[in-house]
Amino acid sequence: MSRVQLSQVTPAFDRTQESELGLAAVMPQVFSGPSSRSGRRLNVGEVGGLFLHLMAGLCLGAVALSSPAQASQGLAMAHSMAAMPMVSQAQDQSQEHAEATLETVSLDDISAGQLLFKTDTGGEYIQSLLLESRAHFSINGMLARVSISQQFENTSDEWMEGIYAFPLPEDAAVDYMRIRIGERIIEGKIREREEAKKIYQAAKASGRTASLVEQERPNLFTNSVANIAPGETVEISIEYLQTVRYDQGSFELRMPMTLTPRYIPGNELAANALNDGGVQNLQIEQGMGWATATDEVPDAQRVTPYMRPNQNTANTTLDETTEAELVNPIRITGELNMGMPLQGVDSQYHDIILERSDELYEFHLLNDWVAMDHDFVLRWEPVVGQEPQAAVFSESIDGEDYAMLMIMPPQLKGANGQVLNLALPKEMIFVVDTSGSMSGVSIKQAKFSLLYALEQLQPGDRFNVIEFNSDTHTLFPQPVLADAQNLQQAMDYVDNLKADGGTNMYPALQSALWQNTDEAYLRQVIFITDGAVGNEEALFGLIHNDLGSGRLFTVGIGSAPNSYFMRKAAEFGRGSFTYIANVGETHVRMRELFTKLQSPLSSDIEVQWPHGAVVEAYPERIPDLYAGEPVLVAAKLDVLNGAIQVSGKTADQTWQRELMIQTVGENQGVATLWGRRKIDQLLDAKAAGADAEVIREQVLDTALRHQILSPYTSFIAVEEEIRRPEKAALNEEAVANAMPKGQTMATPARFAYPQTATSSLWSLLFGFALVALSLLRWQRARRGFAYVASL
Amino acid sequence: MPITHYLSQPAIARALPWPLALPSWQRGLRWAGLAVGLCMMFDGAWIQAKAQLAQFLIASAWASQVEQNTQAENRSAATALAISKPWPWADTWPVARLQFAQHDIDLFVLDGAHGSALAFGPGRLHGTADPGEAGVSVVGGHRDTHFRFLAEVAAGDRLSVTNQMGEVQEYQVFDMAVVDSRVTPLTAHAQDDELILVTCYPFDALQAGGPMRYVVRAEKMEASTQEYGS
Repeated sequence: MSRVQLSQVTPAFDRTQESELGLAAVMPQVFSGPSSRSGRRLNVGEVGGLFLHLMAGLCLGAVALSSPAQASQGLAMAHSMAAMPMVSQAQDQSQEHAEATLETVSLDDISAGQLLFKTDTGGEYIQSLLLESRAHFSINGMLARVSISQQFENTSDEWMEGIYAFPLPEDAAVDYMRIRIGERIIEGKIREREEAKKIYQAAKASGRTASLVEQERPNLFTNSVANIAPGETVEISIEYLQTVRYDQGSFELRMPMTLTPRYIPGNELAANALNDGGVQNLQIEQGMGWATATDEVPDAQRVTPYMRPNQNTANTTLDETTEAELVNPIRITGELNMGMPLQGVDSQYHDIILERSDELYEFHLLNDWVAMDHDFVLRWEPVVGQEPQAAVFSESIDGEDYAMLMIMPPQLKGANGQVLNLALPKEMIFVVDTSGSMSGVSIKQAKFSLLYALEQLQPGDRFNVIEFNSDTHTLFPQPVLADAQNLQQAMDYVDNLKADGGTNMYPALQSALWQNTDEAYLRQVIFITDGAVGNEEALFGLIHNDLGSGRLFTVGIGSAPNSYFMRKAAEFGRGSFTYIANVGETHVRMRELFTKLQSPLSSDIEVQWPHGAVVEAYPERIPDLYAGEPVLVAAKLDVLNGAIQVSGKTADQTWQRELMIQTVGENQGVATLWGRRKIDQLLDAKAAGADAEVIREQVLDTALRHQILSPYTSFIAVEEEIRRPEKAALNEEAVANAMPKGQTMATPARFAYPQTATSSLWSLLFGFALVALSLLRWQRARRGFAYVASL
Repeated sequence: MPITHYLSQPAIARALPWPLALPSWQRGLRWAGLAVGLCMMFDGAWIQAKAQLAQFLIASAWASQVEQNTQAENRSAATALAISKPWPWADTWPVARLQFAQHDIDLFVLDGAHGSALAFGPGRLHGTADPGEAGVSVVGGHRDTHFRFLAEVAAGDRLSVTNQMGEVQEYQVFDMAVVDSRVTPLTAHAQDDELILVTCYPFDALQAGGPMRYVVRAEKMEASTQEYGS
């Protein structure tokens, strides 16, 4: 009897096996794609989704006859519901999911030009994370502390990871970071970079909200935020310290707000190049940028964020744009306390409102919000006759004293009171960047500057003009005399320059440095560019090795020049750097530059610290100074007491200045800035060929002690609580930067992939399989019956 | 074995004719299976049929649209192009005509690459240029209907694109690639005149919603604008 029962069960068993087999026979053909997703087995949720789809399809079938358009929408709805990953233990959630999906932005709701990012599930499009920023400056003397808060709002209904690349001043010492989620505040900690990355990855995987701030270049940082809950706002604040620039009698503070897309030279690194064994030992850095890693710039992906086109800002005045219309809006406020009367406080490119009480100035933007498409520059001047001649700022931390010293070398005056001019004949090589990133207003500025420079040449000077984009073109094979005919030819040449192509800077710089030179002339290379390059280190190496006795001056053009490149190239080139950010100030800035070129240098500058003091000062060797530039030194010393003597030589005359210091006020941040300068010096040594591993150790040590960001340290903040449910997927999203003002879109535009498959094949095949199966069963049952009947 | 099988049938079942011989739950299951299977087949076939039939309706809308535009040629350039919807309640309209002569393909591109347009024809992604016009144009199509033929397209293939003014532009395919949409972004230089056709990959995958895409890129050939004979 037991045998009988068994046989009765067996057919049912067979059936299930068969049904699995039946499907499996279909699956290998259709699940053959490389996609891991379509290769996985069906789960209950999917079958559930399928039924939902089917029911919706059935209901709509009737409607379809009366209104196909509605039906198709309904079908699309059913599709998206079927595509949704359904979690059986969260059925009410799936209901929410389906509703929310219908609310997500369809492509139709978005005006042209706006970039959308695609989510991973079901082909829905969501608007990119809204971003709002605030910056506050507190400037005390030569030290500025700037805090920047950025809000990431997740407007989608899914858990998101946002990655945003942002610029900061190249000499910024980032020493504070925190994230705020609702009422909770988590302070970031400095960790060794790899360690920080691991902590972040672990937090990301476990569902904790976390933020990681990394330094990609001295002036380029990335901020990754994982596990932002649907509809939630996360605020990330960072603070940095910076020294105020003092040059030609005026103070200047610059905050870069967007990036000029970098040109990535070199050959593409294939992802598998790493496996080729030994040939490449470069790491391809994973990022979300548009460029592919190359042998010269292995981290290209991380330094090339996507750009959002400027909307309307070109044609509307600032008053007309509201916050919502701005790309990456920012609000800027600040206070300025120089401890001396000021003659003028001005923001170069933004309208500000200034309030004064005694020597404290407070400022904020005229329009509360502006787009982050243009560097913010604040410039102020002391009252004439009250220009500072020397200043000391100091701080004690853990029993160690730190000081920052500023001294103006004396200006040499001629007999008639004029600033002395150099009589040496000059040889000027002008190198002008005509790459695609210079298109728009930038190339006009470059031309103006170049024409102005050509006009300044004296008879007896020699010059040449080199233009470069993807290729390098030299006007004259050799530097020529600045006579009327040559100058006219050069001016015509400059007039006809057009911006197009890549920024292949290396060969251009090489040909400028390798021009035949005459010992009687002082070689001066004037480099006019936006510095939109990713291979900065290679270029510094070239300048360091091949400049010889010449000097290199950089002129930064455009609304967001790569100031790290400008400044460092000039430093390696023993020259100076000049920013020109709009056509209107071309003449003023170029005149300043030429005054520098023509006035005598202060050289052999030495600082005598108080007798017997143990001092570690940066920069170790004080560079030659041009007229109007101060000596700026940061030092760590054991005794902060006594006299400091600074001496130098200007046009063969020696000079000396003395400064008494004693432990006075505590200027917070001096120690941090000292650490930052030490790191700077160490990294310069690396560019000049020092052992990378030794440098790394020293930088790491300094950065950890002073708690600042560096190439080897990152800020990491992780929330304790696990917030993202295990089953919810995390989507990645890159936040696009605003395109620098006046620039045309030269980086690739990025489009969303449309969802381009229906389930018609699936429906047909699965439907057919079902029909066949049920008929098959009947067939067999009927046969069984026939057999029985025949008995 | 036959004997045991015979004996295993309950007496009452033996007496009844098929299909009532089966237990009722099994019968129910089979009927349900049959019904669901048929519905699904209908659903699948409906998607296919809709895709084919709609193109006929769109063709006549296109003809009237081009006619209106060419007649209105003397109007100022600022005047918007005429729109004629293929059926009164449609939320999309044709924006271009794609012809791959060597693949015997003649398709009308609709406005918008959203599900409700793609059901009836390939759709131009919003924010990108109209096919045939200057700039980058991205057109998506379902891999199992209109863009099924992309599997056979090879580099060097020619296609002609008719814009809404009836002007014909020749394009040539220069690249085909399988990409993972999660990893590789879809990018193009805005200043290039390029037509990007996107469909899902693999072509014969059963389920919709996979991350792989098949991207065919074609570039505009030397200006060979000619008037479209109606």
